[in-house]
Amino acid sequence: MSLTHEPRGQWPRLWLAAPRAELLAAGGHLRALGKIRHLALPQMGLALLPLVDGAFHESFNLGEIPLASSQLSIHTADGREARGASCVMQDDISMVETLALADAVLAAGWPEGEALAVLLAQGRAALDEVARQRKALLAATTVDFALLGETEDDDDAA
Amino acid sequence: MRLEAIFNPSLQQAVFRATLQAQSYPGLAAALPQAVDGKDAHRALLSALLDAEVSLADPENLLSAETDWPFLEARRASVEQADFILAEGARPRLLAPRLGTLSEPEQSATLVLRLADAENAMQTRLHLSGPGIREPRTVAVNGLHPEWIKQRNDWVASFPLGVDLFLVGSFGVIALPRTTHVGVQ
Repeated sequence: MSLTHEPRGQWPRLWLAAPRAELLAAGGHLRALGKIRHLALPQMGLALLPLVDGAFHESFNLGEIPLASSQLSIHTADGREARGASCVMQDDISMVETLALADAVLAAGWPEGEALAVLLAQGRAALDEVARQRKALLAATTVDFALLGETEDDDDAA
Repeated sequence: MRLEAIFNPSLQQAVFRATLQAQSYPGLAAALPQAVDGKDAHRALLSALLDAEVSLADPENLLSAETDWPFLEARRASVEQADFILAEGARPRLLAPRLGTLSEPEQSATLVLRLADAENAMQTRLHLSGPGIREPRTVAVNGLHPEWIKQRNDWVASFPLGVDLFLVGSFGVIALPRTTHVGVQ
């Protein structure tokens, strides 16, 4: 049973936009669900961002970005198992592990994921509000170039 | 949600430091940190040496697909292609590792031999001389089949081509770089 209609690839972005304290509290509850095992080496630090230039199609490193990644599984005492992963542009290993855990639980459709779905909705609302504010700012700075033509005519006449 | 200790960066750095010590004094055992269990010494060494940029061959399946490979991050490769090769010291195998080239001798393999801790393990006495060894010395190594040294001497016969060798076990780690002359007594 899916608890959210948001695409899985957007979950980390939405959770990071949700209230941080609530997300960390939810992570604490998830950690108590069962035994957690890393499936890959959790990483935290700076990562090179390779790109290909448009002229000669040669690869180059644009710069370094903070990056953290985690891949894990959780096994509950009643025999349930879920796997999840996360990779975010933050050097916060605790946060990325929380996101990976949340990813596992919500993707598996466990009842404990309902609180995570609520956080997704809160994150979506926060991002929508930011988008609305940016749109309003953009609208306020719109220039009507049609008026520019009328001004030129006036100058010519003078 | 804790990682196994050997994958902890601070322990990896301590193991790497011991490895440098071993390479500086070929034939002398450098102790690994106390936090490293003797039976995991080879895993601790690989954890300190490997990353996603290198490849590893494990022809005897000494490593676990679940608890080792995902955390070592190295690519799997054949013995002929691998940057690192892990094998059992007591069981010699005919290998054809990369020996590098004259222009790029560093493009060669590093062989890691796991030595058993059993009391009845075969003991091999090695006579060592060369850079880093002030006076020729003889060391006794448990769990190493002399055939490995014979093969190793063939590989390093055309210096600077060759392989570098690590012997690892509960005693710590012993390095035998390609510059060391090794004879079996």
